[in-house]
Amino acid sequence: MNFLPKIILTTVSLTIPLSSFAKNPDRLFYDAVRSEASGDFVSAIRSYEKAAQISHSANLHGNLANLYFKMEDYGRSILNYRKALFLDPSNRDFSANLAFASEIAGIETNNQLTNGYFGSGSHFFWAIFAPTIFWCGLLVFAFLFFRRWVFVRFPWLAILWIATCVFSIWAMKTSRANQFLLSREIIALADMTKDQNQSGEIALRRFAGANSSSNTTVKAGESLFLDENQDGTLKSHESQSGEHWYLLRTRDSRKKGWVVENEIGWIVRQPN
Amino acid sequence: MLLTLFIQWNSITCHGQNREIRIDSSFQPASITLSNLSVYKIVIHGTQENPQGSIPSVPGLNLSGNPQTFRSASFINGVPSVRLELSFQAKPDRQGNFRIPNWNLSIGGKSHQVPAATLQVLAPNQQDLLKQQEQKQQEADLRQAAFIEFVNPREFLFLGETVAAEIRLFLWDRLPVTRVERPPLKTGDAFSITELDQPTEQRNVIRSNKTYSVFTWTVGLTAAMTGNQSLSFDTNIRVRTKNQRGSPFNNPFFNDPFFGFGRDESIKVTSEKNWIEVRSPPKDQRPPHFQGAIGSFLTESSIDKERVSLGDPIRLTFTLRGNGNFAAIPAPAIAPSTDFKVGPPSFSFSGSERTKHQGEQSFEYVITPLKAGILEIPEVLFSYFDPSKEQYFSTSTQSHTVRVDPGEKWIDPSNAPQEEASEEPLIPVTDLFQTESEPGEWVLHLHPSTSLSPWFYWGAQTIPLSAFVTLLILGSKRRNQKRDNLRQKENQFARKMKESLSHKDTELFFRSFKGLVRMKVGKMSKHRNPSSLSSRELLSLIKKESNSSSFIENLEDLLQKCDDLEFAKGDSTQVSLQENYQEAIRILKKIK
Repeated sequence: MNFLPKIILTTVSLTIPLSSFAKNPDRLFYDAVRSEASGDFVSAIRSYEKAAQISHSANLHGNLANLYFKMEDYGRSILNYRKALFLDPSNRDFSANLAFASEIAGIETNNQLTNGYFGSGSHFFWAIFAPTIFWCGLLVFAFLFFRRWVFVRFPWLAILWIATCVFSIWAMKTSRANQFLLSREIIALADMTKDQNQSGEIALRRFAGANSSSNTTVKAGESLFLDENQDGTLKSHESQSGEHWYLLRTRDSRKKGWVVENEIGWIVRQPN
Repeated sequence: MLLTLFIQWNSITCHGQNREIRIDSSFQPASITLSNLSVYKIVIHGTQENPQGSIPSVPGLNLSGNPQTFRSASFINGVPSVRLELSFQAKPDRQGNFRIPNWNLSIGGKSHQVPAATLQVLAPNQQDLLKQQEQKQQEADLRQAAFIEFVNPREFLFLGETVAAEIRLFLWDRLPVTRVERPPLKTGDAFSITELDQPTEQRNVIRSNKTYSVFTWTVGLTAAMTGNQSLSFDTNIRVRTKNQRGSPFNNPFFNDPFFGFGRDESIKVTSEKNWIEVRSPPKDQRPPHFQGAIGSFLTESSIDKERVSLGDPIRLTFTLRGNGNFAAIPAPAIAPSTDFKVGPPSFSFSGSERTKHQGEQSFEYVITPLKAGILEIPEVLFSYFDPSKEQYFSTSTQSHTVRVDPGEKWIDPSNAPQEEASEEPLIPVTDLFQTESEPGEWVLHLHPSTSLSPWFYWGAQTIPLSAFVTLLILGSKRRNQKRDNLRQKENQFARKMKESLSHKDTELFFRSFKGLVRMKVGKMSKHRNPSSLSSRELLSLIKKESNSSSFIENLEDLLQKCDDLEFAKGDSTQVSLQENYQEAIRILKKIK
């Protein structure tokens, strides 16, 4: 009996490094590269997906998107290109691949929420830049007041400052809005369990139920945005079978309806 | 419950009775004083049948007619064994040695020989001598009852060398061992051993006229420090002893208690210290690519594809086969090349998993070509030290040539030239769908952006805000201070003007008046330095404010008097100070 704690301790100490090694995303990534090199795309996708459950990298999602594209699953391909571009916005290969995959899938790509001067990625810059300009200008004027300068002599300086302040605050608000929009953006995905011969379109249903008739359909890979309640929570519904349904719409709000969770992919994060 | 016990008992006895019959005999104790009794014990292993036969009579030694009989069955490390013990009380009539010679017993119709046994009978005053003999005998029995032997196949080892060694645990068959508690533990930091697995068991091993069961663990032994190093092992076994506290070896023959009555006692079994010389591999002629591989190896390499597209990975497998320290061999280096990108290799070993000493170790590299064409895959550089030949060997893999085709190109349709009929080749924009062989930087979560904490963000705004407020307050104070100074100066001039009346000081009067006019005009016209204004400038500023002509004339008259008195040294006695004072007060009231 005295050896029981020692045995447990030894087992745990041996199991922890083994399990951590087995879950090493680097190891899974290299396994996937090897599987891909040997032509086993299914194993490669499985390894990449396992690694993506632990951690994320631009190359991981880029490789995964390439594989999905080769498997003609354009929805997941576009989703992973978007993730890769989110992590590495300046990568031209990802941009070109996304454009090509979108063209093959027959949809228009919208990556403006992530990239661009007023994209979600630039919000941090504007959030620092705007108050810096505002306070720097204000402090300069306060200093001139302290030195008993006459402001009337520098009207152009004041106008320039005010214009810069207005512009930077507008840029900050726009990038914040894009960031908020990106957090609600999802990509429509074809159901992997269905027959490939079925149409790759996803139904936006009138009600949160599989038997509900659809309002309209969207193509796999198309961007959709989740609706929110007034308190900021997502408009969702949990069915009796445990499926989560979400109410979403296209960006121009022309199409709207309920979609089950396995028909959508989250670009940024999934709510708990 | 009873049925289960019965079945188990039958299976033990039946299985145990199929074994070879062996008989031991002895006196317990083997030495006594004249007044004491001893027991002549016959132990029959392998059967529980009643024996037939008669003990030879020895003159002077009386043996009881009715022996005590014990039958026992037990499992030792899963192996069933049965035995029968016959105990006869022995009483000597005199001092001396009594020897019962070999005699025969008949069991199941077959005759078996009972070995001879001797009883030493001493005088009653030699009790202490007996105790000493008994103690020595116990210690000797303990040392011989269970011990560990370490078998090293080589006289000396090289640093880092791995050999297959054996750890043997000898257990005397008479020792009522119920189980071996744990595999042997190593003592000696200069060596490392592989994990101990299940031992192999060998029975009826004769050593020093005793029969042992031997448990053998095969391990891979690796030398980690040079010099003459010691190595020993110890383990714990569990034996069944009488239900009395104190030494479990009160009787080295361990009267086996009947069916588990008694208690288990843990006994530590140790080996002798083994001294092994560990030498350092020679430093001269050591190849530059030597990474610590010691042994005797054959190498081989292969690639999975000979034709690939640019960016597609190639698997290069480098295999080591033979004997050596496989567990300590790092991945061999690949000669650097600008044509390929080499990823970290994966390891796989097949062979003696227990000792990792003999087998086949494979290193699989993922190599990505960086340009198109006929390319030579860089060679794998490997060096090892052969301990039997005591020299280094270097090998390199055979050369592999691959054909790398250019990757597929994609032309952005929007950038494509409109004249499709043109025969000029399209300029490729970028390679499509190339697999990256490195994961790049990992991030744990995909969050929209690095968001600033609202508390921090708005808290940070208070810093420039406080600076701004401070500057405003200081600026306001500074401006108010200037105004106060002006007011003080005005009051000073007014007081001096009044004092000049009582002192009849005309010069002081006009100087004070002019100072007051300067202050008021300066304030009115927001002049930065009013004390520098001349009479003419004062009048011009007053005229700008469109005052009445009589007021300007009066002011001009008074200022003229001031200037005359100051610059022309006019006669101050002819001036009526009282009248001028009244006039000055009226003028000063009108300047606002």
